[in-house]
Amino acid sequence: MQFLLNGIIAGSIYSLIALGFSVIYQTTRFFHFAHGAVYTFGCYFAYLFSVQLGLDRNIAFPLACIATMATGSLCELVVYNPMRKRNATDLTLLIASLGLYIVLQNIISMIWGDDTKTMRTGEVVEGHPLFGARVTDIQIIIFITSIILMVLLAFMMMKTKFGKSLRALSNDAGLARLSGINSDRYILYAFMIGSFLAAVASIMISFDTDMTPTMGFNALVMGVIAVIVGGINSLPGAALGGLFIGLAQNLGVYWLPSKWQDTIAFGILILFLLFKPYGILGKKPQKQLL
Amino acid sequence: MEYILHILILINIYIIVGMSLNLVSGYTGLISLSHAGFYGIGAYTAALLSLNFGVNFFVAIPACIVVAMAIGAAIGFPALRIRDDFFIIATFGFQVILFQVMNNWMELTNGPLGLPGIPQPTLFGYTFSSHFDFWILTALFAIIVYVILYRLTKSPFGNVLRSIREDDLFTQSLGKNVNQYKVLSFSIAAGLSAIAGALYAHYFTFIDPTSFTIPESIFMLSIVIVGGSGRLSGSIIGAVLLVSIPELLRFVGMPSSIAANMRQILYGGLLVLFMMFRPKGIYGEFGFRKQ
Amino acid sequence: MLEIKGLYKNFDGVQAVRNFSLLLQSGKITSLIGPNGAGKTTVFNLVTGYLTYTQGSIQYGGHTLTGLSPWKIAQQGITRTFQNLRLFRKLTVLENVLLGRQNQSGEKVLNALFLFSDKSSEHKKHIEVSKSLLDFVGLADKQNELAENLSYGQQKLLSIACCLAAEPKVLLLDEPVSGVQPEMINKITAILKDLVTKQQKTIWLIEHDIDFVLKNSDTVIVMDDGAIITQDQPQAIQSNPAILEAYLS
Repeated sequence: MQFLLNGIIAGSIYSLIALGFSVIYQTTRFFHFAHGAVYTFGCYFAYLFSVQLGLDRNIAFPLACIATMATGSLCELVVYNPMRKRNATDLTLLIASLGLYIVLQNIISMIWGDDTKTMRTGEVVEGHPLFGARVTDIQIIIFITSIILMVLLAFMMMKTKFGKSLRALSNDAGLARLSGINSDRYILYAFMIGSFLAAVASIMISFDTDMTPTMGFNALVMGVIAVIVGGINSLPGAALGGLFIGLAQNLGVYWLPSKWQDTIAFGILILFLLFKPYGILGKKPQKQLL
Repeated sequence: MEYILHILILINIYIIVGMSLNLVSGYTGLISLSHAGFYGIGAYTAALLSLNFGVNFFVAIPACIVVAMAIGAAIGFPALRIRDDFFIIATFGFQVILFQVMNNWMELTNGPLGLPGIPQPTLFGYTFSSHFDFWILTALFAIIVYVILYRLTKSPFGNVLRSIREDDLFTQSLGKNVNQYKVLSFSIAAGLSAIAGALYAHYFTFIDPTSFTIPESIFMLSIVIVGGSGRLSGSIIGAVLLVSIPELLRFVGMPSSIAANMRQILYGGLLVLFMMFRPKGIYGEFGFRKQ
Repeated sequence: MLEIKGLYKNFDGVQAVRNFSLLLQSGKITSLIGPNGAGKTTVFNLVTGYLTYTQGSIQYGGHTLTGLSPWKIAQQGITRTFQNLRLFRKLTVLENVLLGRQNQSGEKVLNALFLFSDKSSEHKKHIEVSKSLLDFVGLADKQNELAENLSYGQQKLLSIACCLAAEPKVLLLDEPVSGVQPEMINKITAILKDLVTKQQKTIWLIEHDIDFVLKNSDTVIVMDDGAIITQDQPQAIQSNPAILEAYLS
């Protein structure tokens, strides 16, 4: 039961990360690996504003989110957009984003150091009892925040004009452009939304575990796996994938030592890539091969 | 002088790595993030054979090649049927799995503690112990690997690889079993980089999983891309530049606390810049622009 | 020769090809025409193994082609060109044609490593044949040019040369004369005629240029909406304006 609970909590974080990643993928159609570093910036900015500068948390955290959104946007404005203007392929963008991840992660290392930082308040809490397992305050907050954000995102994508334009762009970029949607601007919005989600996830995680400059790598990896397992072409798929991976990892601990947790996740990734590359919810794109 | 030789040795090792990755990524057009893993397989195989069984380095080398090629084929066979950008994700996944195995399988690899005390290579009573010895040794292997790859890439086999890179559907229509060529190039590249791994293990006499991670794979990719994809000499240029420039920065007074970070920013940044402005690399043939 | 029976192809519920059957006449030029989206290229893709089908069968020379990969089908002696003109852009013209040559020993890894030499008689023969093919299509002076630097019409010639390098019996040409200048159309027409009359090749082509089709085909197949509407000699098609009317509208 505890495993199930842990799985759901982990799953909700993974879902947030995956959603942020997926929103960006839907509009740009390539894997923005640097998202992992943007994610890391999220909690480090929070650390900067709340711990180092001593600002009140209610100001620091939103500031951190804005700063993170700016970082994500910079990736698009400085690197990806100019590349797209020069007819870069998905492949070259992906490779560039690998390099970008390395650069950004090391900038974090240089500014804040490689040692672990923490924003936790210190005491080890036992957690409230729930259905025979234990859940801490933080875990509850994580779960609820994730759900709220997902609902808001869903609402925005389905009901608002903005969301519909964004979806139009991801379904058929050419057509969307013809109907007057400024694709550059909407892609930028997608980066902002995605980076925002990453920042929230990152800040919440930092209350549960310590912060290191490389923490984004794991998050990124889980995000990619979740997106592929859930369905590369589908936003709900990303959320579903996150949950699936969270559960699989935590339930898998039942049989395997926990150090193999990540291997489980990757094994699932490989299986899906081989047999169901478009994921649980994904659809194959309509266009023919030739 | 010792320091310079050390750099030259590293350059030689990375020349081997870069050229082998170039075969599969530059010539065949298959971007792989698994390469640090095969490099690590070579290192661990060589280390384990010499530590546990006293196998001579020169005898271990073929074993390393075979093991890496076998694992490469096993990974490549399913993975190469996956389309382009998903293939990279798959190699990313395999790399992490390989790392996890190195890090978690304590009984075999000693996990994060690593394998210390790897003996220096001996040949007919002569021990390769000094930096100069290793420089000669690594240079010899670099030359051998260069010759192997030169023969392969200049032959009809190499032309088929290049054609796969350009348009593998068209290649199929000309009667070539494209999947087989892809697996072969992936597997050969794995085997050759295992040689570099074995050299690394015996030179540093200590290995642990942290040398064989995704950032290392990205570094190897940078060597290929910056130097030039699709030309062997490009990888030589890339290795020389990406290994020596960070060291030169140290001479210009860079504090060593951030030296490691600056090295990574250098190759990460170069990767971004080259992808933005010159995907072919300094002396390459392939610009990663498929129609 | 090439026998297609009852071919069906479905894409997510849309029937792209319905009950396509054909006995391709050897040594003749057969043309496949029809409006856009009729399924013509899909048929080519099915025959050459780029798409799979669950209903129908394709036989050639006594062998079943069903389920074979494109490269195996090519090795049977059936080569093709592509609607979007696939070539190896960053390779030279000669390298492109050379890749069409079958069973080169240097393509095997061990041979490439130890035995291959570009001075061997086998390799020299391959180069000779490739050069004479370039001569045949009129690209002899461009052999060291990168394929991407050729004009569109020249690239079409190159793609035919690549096909021929494999010494096929059957050529499936997808829009061999579309988008090229009239002189080039004449050139390509002459080449196709030569292949059929002097070299006993079988040609099956897709085209939109009705004049070209009516003037040069031995048989014309009209397709619409995934199915064959009619199959006849050019004169019969020509004297049946109703068909062309329906097709052109």
